[in-house]
Amino acid sequence: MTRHSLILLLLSPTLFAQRNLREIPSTDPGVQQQSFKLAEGLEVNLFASEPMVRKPIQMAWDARGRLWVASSAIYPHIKPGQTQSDQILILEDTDRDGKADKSTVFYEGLLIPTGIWPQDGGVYVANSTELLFMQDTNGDDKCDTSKVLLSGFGTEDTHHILHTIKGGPDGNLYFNQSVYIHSHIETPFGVRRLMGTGIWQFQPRTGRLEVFSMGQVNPWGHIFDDWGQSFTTDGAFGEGINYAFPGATFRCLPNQLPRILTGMNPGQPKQCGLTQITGTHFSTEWQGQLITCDFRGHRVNRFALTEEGSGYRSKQLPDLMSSTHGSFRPVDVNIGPDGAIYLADWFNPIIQHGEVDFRDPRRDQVHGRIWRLTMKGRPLATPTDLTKPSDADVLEKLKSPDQAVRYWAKQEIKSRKIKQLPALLDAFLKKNPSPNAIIEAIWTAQTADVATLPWVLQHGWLDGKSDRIDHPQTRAAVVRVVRQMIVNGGLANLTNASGQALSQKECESLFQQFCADAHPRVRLEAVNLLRAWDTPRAIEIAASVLKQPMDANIDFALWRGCYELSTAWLPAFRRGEISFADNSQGLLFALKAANQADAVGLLLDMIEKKSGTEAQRIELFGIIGSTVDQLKIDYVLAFATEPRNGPNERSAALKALITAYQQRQVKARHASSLAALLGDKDKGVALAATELAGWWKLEDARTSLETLARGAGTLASTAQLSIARLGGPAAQTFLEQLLTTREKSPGQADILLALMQLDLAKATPAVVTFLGAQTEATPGTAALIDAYLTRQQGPAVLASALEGKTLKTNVASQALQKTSATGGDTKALMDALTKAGGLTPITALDAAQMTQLMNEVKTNGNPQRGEAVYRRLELQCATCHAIGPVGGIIGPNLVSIGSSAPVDYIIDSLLLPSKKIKEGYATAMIQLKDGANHTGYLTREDEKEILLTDAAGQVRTFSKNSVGKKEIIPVSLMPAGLTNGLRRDELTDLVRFLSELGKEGAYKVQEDGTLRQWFAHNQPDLTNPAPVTTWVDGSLSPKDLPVIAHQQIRQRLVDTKVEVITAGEVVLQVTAADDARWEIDGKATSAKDGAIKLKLEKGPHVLRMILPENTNARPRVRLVSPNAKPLHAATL
Amino acid sequence: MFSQLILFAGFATLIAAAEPVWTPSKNETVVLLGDTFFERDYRQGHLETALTLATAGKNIRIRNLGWSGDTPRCESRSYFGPPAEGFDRLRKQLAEIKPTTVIACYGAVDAFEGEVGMQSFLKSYQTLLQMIQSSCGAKVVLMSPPAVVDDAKRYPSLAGHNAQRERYGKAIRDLAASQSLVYADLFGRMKGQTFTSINGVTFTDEDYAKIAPLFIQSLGLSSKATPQQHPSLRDVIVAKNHLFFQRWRPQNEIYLFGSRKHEQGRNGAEIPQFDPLIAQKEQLIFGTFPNP
Repeated sequence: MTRHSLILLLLSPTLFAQRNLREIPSTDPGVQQQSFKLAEGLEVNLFASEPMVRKPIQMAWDARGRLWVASSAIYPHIKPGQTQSDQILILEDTDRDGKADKSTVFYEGLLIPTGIWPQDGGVYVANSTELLFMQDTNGDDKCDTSKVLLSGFGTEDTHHILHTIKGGPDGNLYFNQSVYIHSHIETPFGVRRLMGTGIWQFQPRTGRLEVFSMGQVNPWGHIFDDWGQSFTTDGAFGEGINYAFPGATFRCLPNQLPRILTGMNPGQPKQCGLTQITGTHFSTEWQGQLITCDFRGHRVNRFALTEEGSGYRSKQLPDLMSSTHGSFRPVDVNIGPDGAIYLADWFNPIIQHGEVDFRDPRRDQVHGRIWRLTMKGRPLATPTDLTKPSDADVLEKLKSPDQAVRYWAKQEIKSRKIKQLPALLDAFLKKNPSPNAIIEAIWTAQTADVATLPWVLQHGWLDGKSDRIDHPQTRAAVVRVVRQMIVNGGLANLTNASGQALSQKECESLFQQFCADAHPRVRLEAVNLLRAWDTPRAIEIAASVLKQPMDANIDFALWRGCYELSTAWLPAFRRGEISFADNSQGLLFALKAANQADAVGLLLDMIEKKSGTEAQRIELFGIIGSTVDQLKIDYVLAFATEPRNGPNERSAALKALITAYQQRQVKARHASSLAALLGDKDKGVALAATELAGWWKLEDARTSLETLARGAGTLASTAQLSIARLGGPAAQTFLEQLLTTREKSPGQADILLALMQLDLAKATPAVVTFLGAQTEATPGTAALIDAYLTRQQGPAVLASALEGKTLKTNVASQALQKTSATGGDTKALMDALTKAGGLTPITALDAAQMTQLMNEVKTNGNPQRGEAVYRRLELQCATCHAIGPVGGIIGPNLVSIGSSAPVDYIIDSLLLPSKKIKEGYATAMIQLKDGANHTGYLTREDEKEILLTDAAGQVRTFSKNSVGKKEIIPVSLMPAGLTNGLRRDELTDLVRFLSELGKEGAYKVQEDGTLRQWFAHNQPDLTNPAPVTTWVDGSLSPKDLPVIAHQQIRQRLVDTKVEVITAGEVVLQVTAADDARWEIDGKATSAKDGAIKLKLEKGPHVLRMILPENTNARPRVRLVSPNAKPLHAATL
Repeated sequence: MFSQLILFAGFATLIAAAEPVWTPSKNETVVLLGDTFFERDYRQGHLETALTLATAGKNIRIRNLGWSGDTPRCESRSYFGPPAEGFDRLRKQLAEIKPTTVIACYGAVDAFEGEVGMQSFLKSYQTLLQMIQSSCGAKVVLMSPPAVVDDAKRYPSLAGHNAQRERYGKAIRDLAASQSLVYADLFGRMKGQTFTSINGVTFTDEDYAKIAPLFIQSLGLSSKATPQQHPSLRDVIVAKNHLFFQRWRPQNEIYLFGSRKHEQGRNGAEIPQFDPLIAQKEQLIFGTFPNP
């Protein structure tokens, strides 16, 4: 930066918002192109740039090989009086030299169009609240008619509005909406509402609109593979490639269902757009790879898919390309008719509009690029003209290796409205009996929507013999087609080869076959089909999949059906219309999923009959706790008091009663039998009974509670709290006396908590005295502070009691951190704590201080030292945040914070967390009717309950009945003042480290098979190892690994886990670990030439590394075999 | 009351004379409140232009608050909360706009629920009417839902659906009668007519041009001038509607007024800047009338 511009900056207050953007990148395409780093063997050229195209968002090729582009210069928000002038463009490369030579404005006058799909003699356009169909009827490439097909799409956030229109091989159109969007669409089938995120499925011919999948924060990319399976990426979350099937539901803010699926690459940056490499231009090893855009990190990512169970596994490959150009924003990607990869570059130094003013002058509203990537030395594909060939010749194109050619062939057939299509398709299949041809022919019939249903069924599952197509992907795709028929018209749509409707019995027997298919994906599709049938019998049949091996997708699909259709199947089960005859496991699953109060009796029956395993029965008590009502509660207590029942189930029953009381204040009528359980010889039963006695205010238990309270440990503290819940002067006297006998003993804080429960004001002087006497911040002091913060009057009571008192700095600062992360009026308490602890109040940096600190970060900050600061325990950074696939899950993943957030944003986030809250991390505060306050992330809310995740990662469930008020508060769960203890140079280093994360270089997390989650042993007997994550570069530092005297040798032992997908040789590459010894599943093994070669069975395996006490190793272990993957779960 | 209605059912003209009639006064502010049927009119303006012409010289301001998929429970008007949030939003908007007449057209969405949904529909409609009373005190005209395209071949899912719409229309008529409100029978005027339609339930621009005179008639108004004769008037109306849409239903709600306002939150100030622009267009609308 020149001196001149620095002076300008200091004079210009408007520029203080995002100072790191002082250097606006060059707008010269040549300069930009020079910044590109490409994967081996590729080259890049500029296909189009301004003025031919500006601000591209989605681009799509039409059947004629022309590129349609939706572009918006108005984004993020129309100005008062500004004309709606956004454009639809057509780009053409008429001389086929790889550069667009013609740009036509098809239409000007839209408002932030974010989706485009040319088809059916026109173009579908997502335009703010509407889906439009625009046509040129006179051939001048200018729109002359336009109609609104659908309207009522929400616009609460313009980077989440209706977008990404894609044509499916099934003839449906698909389009997405993202978080914050609420849509209400009138269709000929009634109104369709989607609150939050999802992918819509639209049949243009009938106007039917259904929700295909839900969740993801901003589902952006969407593609179909050769078998019609959907894959998606997320432009606002970080799980890489997602496998989406009908009804699949992923994370959202808040979640739309109590259960969700996850993406396949947790720890990825946000990703926009998606394409799959098909066709002839790219060589074999590239075929099938997925390409998506890390628009914040200026990179284009690459993934390879492999089949795994009903779903897939996605593995990241080296980037397709990356750039250091700050305005390179790849947002959409697809394959052109020449086989090249085309990238839409939105070209902007500023992304997003939550944190930056809509009118910020640095927003680029003029430029835009389309880049084209080809393989050196490979021939380009020749564009296919489908309009001239005969019908039969068009059908032959269904065998093309290029997915787009096959797509347009189906569309061409549809447009020809061929009467004899079934006969033509028969002839085609006779010549081409391959699985690909079968499914392509079926999709052609589906797309053309001729009256060919008998034909589809005959060729699809072939008169009930579902195993006749010896190809599971095809069978799965056929089941999906049958599902669509049921959605369209119920079972009546299913006919045999001669066109007669199948009887319900025949249909059911077919569905049963699907559920028993040898391949899990067919079974997954079968469950999705049955959910669409939407009857009690469908659930009964779907549950039969449990007789086959299950996996996460099938389990979810079945759960969703049992959960959502419970109001139909549960009553039908009671009436005896369905019975789950020989499938008690199915009934157990369904009841658990239903989570309904009126299932409690059935659940208790199953428990008494000892159905399923003990673990399953204990899980059922979880449901009983959240649903049991007054009618059935005595049965649960009777179960707990019956000594013949197992102790684990009895304590689970008591815990269910505690939950029932906490959530809905229900209590047994004959409660006194509980008293006997306080002395139960099983510790779990005694503990739960002791707690329950307090909630129920069971006078009969007072004497027993007092005896227990005089003891030590958890049972004693639970009893003390229960005595407080019983209340009365007797409790006050007892607890006060107990306190005097416990001075300076570890149990003091517990007794104080009990006294606070009894009478907050009365207990407070003793609490303040206790806090004042503490030299360390402990879990005990934390619990006391929490107890004030969750009580409505708590902060005020403590604030006034602290007047004139002093606290040790660390105790005060712990309290302050907790208080700052809580909602409500806590200013008085913050002031009181600051004063009592003699702390320096946290203040924002003024503009000059900020500039100075930013300069220090740039010139002196050392990211290597910064990473060490980040990893310090007392800062808790890694407890809450992940960097890539490993770390805490409470705060946002920091994998690309440096490449996306300006330095001043990072500094502000550290010093004043509540000033910058990332989307989805806003805090909800609820006030219970009993006056208690709770804050946390709003994880989910439905008509029954609210789920909050607190700063410790605990999810708490609150019954809606008990909640008085809920509000979203502008407070971060990240405590303020975490960095107060840092020296200035340490803070500078930390900021530098964070600002490097995700940028090209040493602090970009590579998902290359590195084993990043380890467990270090700290006990000689090797029990309870503690999780330790690698440094960003994938290495472990000996400093993170405690030395223990294991088998009389002082050494460092650390474990990790890998999962082998298919049995065989697994190779681990080892670097910088010359003095390490190795064990696999407890057996010694060794590394040769930097590699450990193992023969392993399918399933999880534990790898142990043993280092001597004195070591200089900085070991890094990487899985290089494709048949295994690292397990990054936080427990071993 | 009910038996009287049945008795008179065959004598439509007789009833018309006895029923209350909407007589727009000068300088009224009229709100069009309803679902997709009204919402779609904002972008081509046929209904509004016809209404403007039929009340020529009276300088009537029209505000289209139609929202796709809406019901009297205001189910489409909430963002992050339950429908009650949308109900409150409408209450505030009505208090701000201060309409003197509200033309409400609901029932199209609820009719898909059939007889089962009727009681809940009527109950929520009554609640809505009370709210309109308390928020702005406007006169209310209750309009039947529009008819759907009755063509079982093209739209099999709509076979027989007009019977439901008719049933809801009659219930709305009874509701209007019970509260001495004006009832506008649009359904009866659309039934039997042919429309191209988008999908059987929503209509093309050409359909709206055809519906516009029926809409006016159902309100008891008439006009010799047609919107087709005044394309420039319709253009101004559409331009005004685009401005008003960004005023009452702006994009980016979450950053302007919602839970992410705290981030930079400066742009909400722009929204009232639409008001003078809307007023300017309105002056053009009032100025382009044919001489009465």
